[in-house]
Amino acid sequence: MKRPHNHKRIVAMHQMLFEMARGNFNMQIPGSGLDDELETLVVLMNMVAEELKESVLFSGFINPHGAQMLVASATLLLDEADRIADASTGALALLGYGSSGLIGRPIAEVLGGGMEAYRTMKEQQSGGNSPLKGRSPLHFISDGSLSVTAECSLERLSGGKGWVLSCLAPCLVNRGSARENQEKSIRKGRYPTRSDARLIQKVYDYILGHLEEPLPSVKELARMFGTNEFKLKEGFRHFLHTSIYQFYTDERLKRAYFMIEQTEIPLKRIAQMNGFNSYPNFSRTFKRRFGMSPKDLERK
Amino acid sequence: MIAAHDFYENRYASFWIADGILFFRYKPDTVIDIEAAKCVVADRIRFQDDRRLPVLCDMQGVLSVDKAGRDYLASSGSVLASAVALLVAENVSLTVSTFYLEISKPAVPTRIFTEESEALSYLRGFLQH
Repeated sequence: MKRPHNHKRIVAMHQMLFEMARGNFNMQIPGSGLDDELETLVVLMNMVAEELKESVLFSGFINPHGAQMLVASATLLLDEADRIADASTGALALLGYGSSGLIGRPIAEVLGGGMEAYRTMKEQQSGGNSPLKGRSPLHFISDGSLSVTAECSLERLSGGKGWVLSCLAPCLVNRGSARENQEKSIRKGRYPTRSDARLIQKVYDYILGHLEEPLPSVKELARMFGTNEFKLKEGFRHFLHTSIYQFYTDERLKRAYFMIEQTEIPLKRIAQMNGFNSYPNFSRTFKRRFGMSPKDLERK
Repeated sequence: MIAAHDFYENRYASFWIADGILFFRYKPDTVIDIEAAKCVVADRIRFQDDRRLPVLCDMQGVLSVDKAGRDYLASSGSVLASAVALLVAENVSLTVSTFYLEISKPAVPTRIFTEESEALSYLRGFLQH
């Protein structure tokens, strides 16, 4: 691996992967003309980048930096023998199975990497009736033999007849609506350009970086970024499928979620820090978004 | 029936017909871009003289195929081909061809072979009788 022609290609592959991680699929690794295993990875990476450039990045060059990921929630009901007694529709979707493919199966069969992590979680729960639930990442084997990772927590059923495994996993925005938007744009005769994407990326990054401040008006934002209100609103709708304000409040809510989880700051203060002057209003909005009240969220 | 010209060559590949099968070999160190793809498809169709034939395509000289090339070959490149057998070596040509098959999804039956005899067996099943 230390030979110069190998080293060079490996360096190029590293760079390529970093660029792709940044949302930049424009790069290609120069072919070496060699026909060896390393070169197969080179050509494969190039081809993958080309495909991603057109298909996966539905909006073209907006890197959501993870913030746009919705959280998919999945619940598995396990019996005393660690078999899957039932699964929520979210669980079926997350793990990529039909209900017949999952129900009745031992959890061991869908856990990649074995039962150790799961058993550890079970042990932690067996000590008394503490409502504290630790969350650990578990790796599941989906129906296509790819793996899915989710943060999971385990709870004993109070009737004593089994366990509830709750999982949270990031998932990308539904692509169906994305394609409709694309088609609409094409029909309107105005297809968003790469510079449109760059503009929206800048505004997006700005908002994410200034969540603790009040949101400037669209007029003000347009002025800041050298564009007009229409372009800004249209661009946000097209690339991010939401309004600027909706995006801003949703990100604040997600930030509140993480603050509650990761810090000891009083809930009322967290609500204030994220723009909610009335705690009941915050609690209501939080519950609607995450399905639980802020008080129910376990703090580390 | 003897073809008007039984051997042809362009910038990118050589073509010949034998036993009702079109043989098509890319030259060494070929990078297939959209221009190359259009050129080989146009020449192949002309060479075939409107007959629909099974095609043996020797990919061993190919270094890479870009997306425009792949997409073109998968759609227009399938015209007048009843089936395609891609002949590959172990590394790059195998990877590129597999990617083409799985991702670009050619419009006619296409399979990958490392042995020419097996490729020909496959194609003989598509001969017009």
